[in-house]
Amino acid sequence: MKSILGHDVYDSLDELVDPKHTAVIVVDMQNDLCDPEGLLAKGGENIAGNRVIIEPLRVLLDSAREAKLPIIYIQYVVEKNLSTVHPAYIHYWYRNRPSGRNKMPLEVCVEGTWGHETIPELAPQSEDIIVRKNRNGAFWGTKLDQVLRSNGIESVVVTGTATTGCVLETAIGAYANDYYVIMAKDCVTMSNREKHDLGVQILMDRYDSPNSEEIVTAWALAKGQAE
Amino acid sequence: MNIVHGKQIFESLEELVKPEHTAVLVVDMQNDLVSLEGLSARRGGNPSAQRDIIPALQNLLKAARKSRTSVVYIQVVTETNFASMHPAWIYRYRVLNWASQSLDERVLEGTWGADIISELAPQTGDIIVKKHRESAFVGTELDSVLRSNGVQTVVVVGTATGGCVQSTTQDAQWLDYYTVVVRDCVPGGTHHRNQIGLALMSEACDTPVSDQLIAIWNRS
Repeated sequence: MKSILGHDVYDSLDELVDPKHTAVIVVDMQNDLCDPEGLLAKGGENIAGNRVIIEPLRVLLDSAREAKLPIIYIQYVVEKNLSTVHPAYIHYWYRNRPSGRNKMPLEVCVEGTWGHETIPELAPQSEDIIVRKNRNGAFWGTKLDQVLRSNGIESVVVTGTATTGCVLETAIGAYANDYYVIMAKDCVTMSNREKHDLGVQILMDRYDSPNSEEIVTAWALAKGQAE
Repeated sequence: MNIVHGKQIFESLEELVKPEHTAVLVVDMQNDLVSLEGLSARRGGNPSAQRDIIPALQNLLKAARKSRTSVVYIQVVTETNFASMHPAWIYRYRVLNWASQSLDERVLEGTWGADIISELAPQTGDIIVKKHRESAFVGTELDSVLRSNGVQTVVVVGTATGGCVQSTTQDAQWLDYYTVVVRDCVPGGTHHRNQIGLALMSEACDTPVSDQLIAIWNRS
């Protein structure tokens, strides 16, 4: 802990990810985006890159549950009646997905469909929190900030997909809302590996970026001290 | 202190308004709205209800500063180029004739009318937040300023009871602040909006008189 201008400021990784004030955020690990049968894969995208984080993320979440951290699943959702889709959003959706590279339709992760559900390998458990979102950043038009504040959360460990999209924008949103932001470096991903590397660079520049093992060690230590 | 679902909840007024986690929000006590030479008075309004609360406010702010409770002045302003005026907001004034006030006669930024009245002049260490709407949380840095300084409770005072004070109080509550409205530091009088405003806020939050807060802050 450092005292700066009269404020107590967390310093070490142990302080940053202290189970007493930390939550894990899992962004968009949903069937349409991460399962071989999902719409992203069916649109011709190689989703192997999205699946490489499943195992380290599963280990991280197990450790978080043992240390009693809140786990928040962010789920992208498109309402059946498309009521949350804005013309400008549609413009960027197609601009950023030129035909041929990825033919993903706008109607992806539609509410009530299998594609919207979190992948079974990382299935939410009964005590986990689910926050639905309609845009990239998980703080826009959602209850996320309210949920975090209601539970005394000061730090968020950001995981999931996609590195340069929803993960980056959620990290920026967390920082803008005065949370300490920790990227678990081996638990963020996207199918396009070049863009992924670029995104990781940006995130490392801005936020703390330990590997999941370091975070798991910190939680195990905190749990040992508490017992 | 109560413990509910594992969460610590303030209970007594003393816990609610502890100086280290409390800020007083002084809403819109500006020349154009409160002074005898201000816009509101010049247009035939009677600011006596607003002026009646000045002595109690002076005492409250003195005790707040002495106990190191944060003091935040909220200042409503219209930019001189009217960039902050939204059509829906203009509608309210022009079509509903809500405030029998010409659109061009607003509290203009940078004018004497926008200044806080001299009786309650901000002091070094106070925070000033400008706003363009009724609620001091809409389109402003207020929430960020409060959270940055560990504020959990807002004590709302100033004018108008059924307008900016109420809007600010409601938003503070939904943004998870404990909210306290000081009964004798918001304009009363016979205006129905003041009366309705105070009645609604009395149901929604603690509404002590200033002497209760002053006694608590003088003890700390």
